[in-house]
Amino acid sequence: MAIHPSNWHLFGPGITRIAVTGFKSLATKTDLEIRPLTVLAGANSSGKSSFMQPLLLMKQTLESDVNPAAPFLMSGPYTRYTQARQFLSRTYLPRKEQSPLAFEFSFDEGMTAGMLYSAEAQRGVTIERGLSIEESWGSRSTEESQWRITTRSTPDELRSMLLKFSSIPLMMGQVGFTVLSAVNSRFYQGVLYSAPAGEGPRGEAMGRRELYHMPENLGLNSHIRRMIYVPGLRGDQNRKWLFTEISEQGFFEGPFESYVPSLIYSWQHADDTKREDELEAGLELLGLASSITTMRVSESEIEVLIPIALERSRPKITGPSEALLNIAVQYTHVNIADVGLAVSTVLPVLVALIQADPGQLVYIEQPELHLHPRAQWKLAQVLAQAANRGVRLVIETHSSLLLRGILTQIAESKIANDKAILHWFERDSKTGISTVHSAEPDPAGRVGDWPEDFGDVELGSDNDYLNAVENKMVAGTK
Amino acid sequence: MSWKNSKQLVVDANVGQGSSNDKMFNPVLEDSGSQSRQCLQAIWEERHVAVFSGNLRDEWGRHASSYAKRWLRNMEQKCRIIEEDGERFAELAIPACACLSTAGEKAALAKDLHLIQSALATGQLILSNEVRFPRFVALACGAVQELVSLYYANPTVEGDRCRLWIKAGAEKDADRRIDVWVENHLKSD
Repeated sequence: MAIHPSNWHLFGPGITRIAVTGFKSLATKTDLEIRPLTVLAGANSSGKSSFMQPLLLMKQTLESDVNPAAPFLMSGPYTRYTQARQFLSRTYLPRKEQSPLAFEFSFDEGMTAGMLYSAEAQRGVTIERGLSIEESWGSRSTEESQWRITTRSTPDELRSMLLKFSSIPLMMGQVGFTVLSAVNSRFYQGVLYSAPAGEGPRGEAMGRRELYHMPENLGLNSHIRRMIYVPGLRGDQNRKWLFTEISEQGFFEGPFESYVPSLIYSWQHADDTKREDELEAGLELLGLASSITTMRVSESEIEVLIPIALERSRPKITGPSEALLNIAVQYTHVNIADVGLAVSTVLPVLVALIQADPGQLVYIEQPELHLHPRAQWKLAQVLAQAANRGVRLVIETHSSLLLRGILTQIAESKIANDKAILHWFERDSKTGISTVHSAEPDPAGRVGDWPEDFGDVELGSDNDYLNAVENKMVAGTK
Repeated sequence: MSWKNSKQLVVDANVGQGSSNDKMFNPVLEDSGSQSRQCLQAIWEERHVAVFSGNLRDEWGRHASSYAKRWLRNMEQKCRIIEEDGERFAELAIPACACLSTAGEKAALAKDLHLIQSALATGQLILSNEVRFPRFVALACGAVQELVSLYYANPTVEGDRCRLWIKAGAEKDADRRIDVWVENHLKSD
């Protein structure tokens, strides 16, 4: 079961800004706004995936039972690194001009968090210091506004740093916290301080407590852990899937694809069929199937089935038993492994979009994968619907049709232009460093001088083809 | 070419119509399909801006080839389309038509007057496959001084020279002034 709508506010609007520095081709600070519908586009190897990989590194670190010696679990379900040097930027810039590894985030209502890391040949990546408080973004950033804590800082230095926060001085003044030391925990650095013995909120006696003030306490961890990642490599043609537990908090650990059959099953057996209806409407919109059903074939296995006929709907059997339904569908449905790859490829996309709660980040690589051009264009409607619910979508795409579909949704006022943002990645051919051009579409769905090159390719290929045809026709008449 | 060098051109519907290689439906000269398409491609590549009036947009909607529709869509997406009816120049219709002798000529000029209005209100450049229309405008230039500020290019008549002119920046070259252009290209007709 997902988060109840009445509790959505607890998670806030989610991650609203990400800045990555010193990671692969993002050698200089790449600071991008994240809106409900965020499009990452650009040539192959231009840095789109690299921009989102720090979140994947963090997600797999947080999901791991193992606390790695390094800040990040480098090899896991989402990334496969063995050494930090594989993701640290390597450029031809002089050493002084090279930026160290840093990740920064804005999230919810004005919250920020960020860390600066240092890299050494033998030790790999280590935490250098915490970066952020509320003033640390862009031109507003000042030296004074940044954390300068390290594990070598004295308690007095740490205390003076903490006094720069808006909330901490009040807390410290009220109950007299004592700063103890700076500490590292996974990929964060924070301050350990203690609260003296006294009365609790209900008047109960409380002993001395040690507390952390760290970015992870501010809710960022929750956003990163709850991120749904739909990778480009997907669409396993499994006949049977493991029946999985569905987290009530919206945590999906490991490949999201593994949860898809069980999620559909849970929707179909819920009192409210809204999500099941949305999924079937999505599949129908894309011209892939009129309905979908799941069948539990054993205590631990589940099958996903779609009807043989596109227009034939799923038999709605009420009452007697799931067994009766299972018998019926064997005559009218086929296993998803027996139909085209498009269904199994797009299913995780649709399920993620429908399952995600407002504020939850959904990162999808190539949502258009294996889809017919018409379906690529229609998919924009489903994306817009999810973004309108407040889900934070980050999609990485090479589809001009999907992009045009999104712009059409904006021009048709199906989604407000200020809910979408487009980031175009380019990589300098000499330095190998990525740069990003961002644009907000106008209310008419136009993006102005955004350097997207889909139009160049479309018109160039059309023109070349027509020229070639004409030349052939002219040659044929001679 | 940089964005600051882009020019504003009124692109007649017959350029969009002639940009496909489907000659069966092409009412202008046989080679115009390819030449028109090369000109649209050059406008796209050099980041020029196309000027449309309401009338012209309607004509494009009815006649444009599939290539031209895609061109227009991409131009729209990049905000390289200007809507300009040039209403303040509508009063030129009467003195301009008065210079022509037959009712047919007057009607032909009046039909395309929206091109003149849009051009005068913007970059004063017209790209068209028409040959009658520029001749009528040239005839009216003596009486209506504003028309002398119009510059003209015709993909069908000029061939690749028209594309090269667009690629070079679509400048207001003296030989492209509409009356001079007619003198140079249509004198023998």
